[in-house]
Amino acid sequence: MSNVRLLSSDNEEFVVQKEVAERSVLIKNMLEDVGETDSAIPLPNVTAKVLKKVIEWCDHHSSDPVTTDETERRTTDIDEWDQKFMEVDQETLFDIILAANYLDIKPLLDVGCKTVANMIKGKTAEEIRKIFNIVNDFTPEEEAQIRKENEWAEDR
Amino acid sequence: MIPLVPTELILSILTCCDGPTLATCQRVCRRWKHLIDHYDTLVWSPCCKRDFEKGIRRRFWSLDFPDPQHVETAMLSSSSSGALWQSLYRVTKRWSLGDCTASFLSDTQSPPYRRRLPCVVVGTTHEYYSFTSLSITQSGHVVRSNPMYKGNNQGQQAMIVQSSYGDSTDGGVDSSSFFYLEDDALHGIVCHYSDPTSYWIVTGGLDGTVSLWNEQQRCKARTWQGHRCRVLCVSMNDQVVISGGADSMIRVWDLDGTNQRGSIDISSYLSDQHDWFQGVGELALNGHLIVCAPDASGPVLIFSLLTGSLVYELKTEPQDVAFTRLCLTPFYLLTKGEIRQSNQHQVPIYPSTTKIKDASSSSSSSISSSSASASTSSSSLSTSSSLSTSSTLASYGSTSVQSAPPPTAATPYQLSRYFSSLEATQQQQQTMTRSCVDVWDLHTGKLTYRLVPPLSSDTAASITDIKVSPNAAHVFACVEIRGNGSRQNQLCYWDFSNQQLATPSIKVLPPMPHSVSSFGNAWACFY
Repeated sequence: MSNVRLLSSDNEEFVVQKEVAERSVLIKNMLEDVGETDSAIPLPNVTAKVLKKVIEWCDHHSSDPVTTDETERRTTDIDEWDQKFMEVDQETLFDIILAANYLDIKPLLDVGCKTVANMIKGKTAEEIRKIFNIVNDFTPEEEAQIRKENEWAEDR
Repeated sequence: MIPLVPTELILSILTCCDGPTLATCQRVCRRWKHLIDHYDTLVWSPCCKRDFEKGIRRRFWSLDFPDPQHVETAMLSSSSSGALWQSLYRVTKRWSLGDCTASFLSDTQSPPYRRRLPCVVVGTTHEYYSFTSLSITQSGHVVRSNPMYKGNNQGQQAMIVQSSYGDSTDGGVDSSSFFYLEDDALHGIVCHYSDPTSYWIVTGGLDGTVSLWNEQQRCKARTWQGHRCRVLCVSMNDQVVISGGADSMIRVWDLDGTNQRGSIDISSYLSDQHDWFQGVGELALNGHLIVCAPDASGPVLIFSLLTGSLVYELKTEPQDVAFTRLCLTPFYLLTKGEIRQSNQHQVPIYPSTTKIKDASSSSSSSISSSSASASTSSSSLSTSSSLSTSSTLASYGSTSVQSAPPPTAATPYQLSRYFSSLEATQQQQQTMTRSCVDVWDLHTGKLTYRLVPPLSSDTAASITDIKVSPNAAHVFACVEIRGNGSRQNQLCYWDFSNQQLATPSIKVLPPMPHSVSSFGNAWACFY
């Protein structure tokens, strides 16, 4: 079984099995384009800390079948291992999602997005703004209007 | 410090959120609000399916969240804002909460009727002493049928297709605004059905045949034979036509062929205690379920369209109630019901009085004020003559047609109700009943709540017909209000959109020339 060398943005090298690395569609395509190579693949958008997490996830899920089933994606349930895996601080969580997006690992991206969705569930708009570091740019009138439209969602 | 999250990732996160969370997210900032509104299908459609279809997948049937495109077609207009999934989510959520407002559409002689605006059509219940039924087709035409209508060739029975856009300002029927669908083979149209999403009209005949008409080509396309006697009701979806006959059979026909897909004998589900049982009284259909009410007292039977097996048997106490005016929404079944003193506390009643907004119809306000001035509630109770029979023939008690003979097409059960309703007008009923709309949850098969017109509880009123708008945002009911010897017809509506959508106007369909009729109750609704 052949190995692939990956180089993080902070120049740390990881050696992983080819099939694990190929969970990433980006790397898979790259390997197909380049063919057999000994040189490390540079991943300038991913730090070593995050890449380590991503590889850990890919390793655990290396034998998963590739599902494109819509009903699978519809559920918000996350399996137990993934839940544990995602128990990280918010910054790392978003880093993992960004990395999954860049590396094109759809299942990991889904898990990450579901985790964030569960995180903001039940939060107030102000709390969500804090998480995403967003400034409220609504006028009070606009906010009141939206609140009125969404009365059904309040304290039920 | 969280890095700036790119738009595509925010969208990915939003697609995993449930409805209440999305509602909160709309208040976060302009960018999020714009994303949630703009990417309506992407964000809201998974959310709708997740939140409402959860746990309703059964082996042979399911309840699907409606396809907004289909709903939009059925509305016959493009009046809504564009955020279709979102608006359907809101309406569906309000249904689950019973969160609605009730009011009367104030002016039955509506303001100038404008094309392509929300509209309810009110027709006449009985002309020539027979029932007239109304429906809408894809082109926005109103189809009306009555066993007594005659076409251009005198003597042949016909169905009238009427353009609802015609200017009949003088109240008469403009000859250019309607045409006849004539029946050559003495089919004898008893009932008909059409759907605003198709150009098909299906009719049930006196001779037991079921016919399919093409409205565009103005001709009969197909005839199915099978019922041993009269067809009492028909319905259809985009794949099948169903018919219910006086032989107590429901038959399912392929829309595309001459084959009968299957049949259900409902007599085996009804015990001896249901007197007068004659056949299938009413039918309603969605993509997976057939809802059927026997033409007599008895439970509402719900079958799987796929297998024909019984899914639910809906009953209320007391059991001698006939269910009429079946209406299906994606997740609920509406029937005409009545609240008696014995059962009024069992099921929540909506809208609760505090939520009734602008129920400013002069009659209701005067009635409520008079009842408030009455010294004791018991005195007002005994003076008000309350009568709400659950029969479709209740309106036969109305003074204008009291001397009329019973309709030739009535079944023995209908006749028995007709005579009992005549008696009821003479005697004052002692038991207090209020007419209401029963709302059954198809998910559980239980009566979940009741919708009442915004009237004081001692007003004598009865609901004569119920319809739901295709987007399920509005429920309409024709209400006959009685007091001091006078009768007044009003159109009540329950709004589940929280006044986000335009209030529909009413169009009263004039009777055909030379017919004996009054402002009636049968009606259809469309947008």
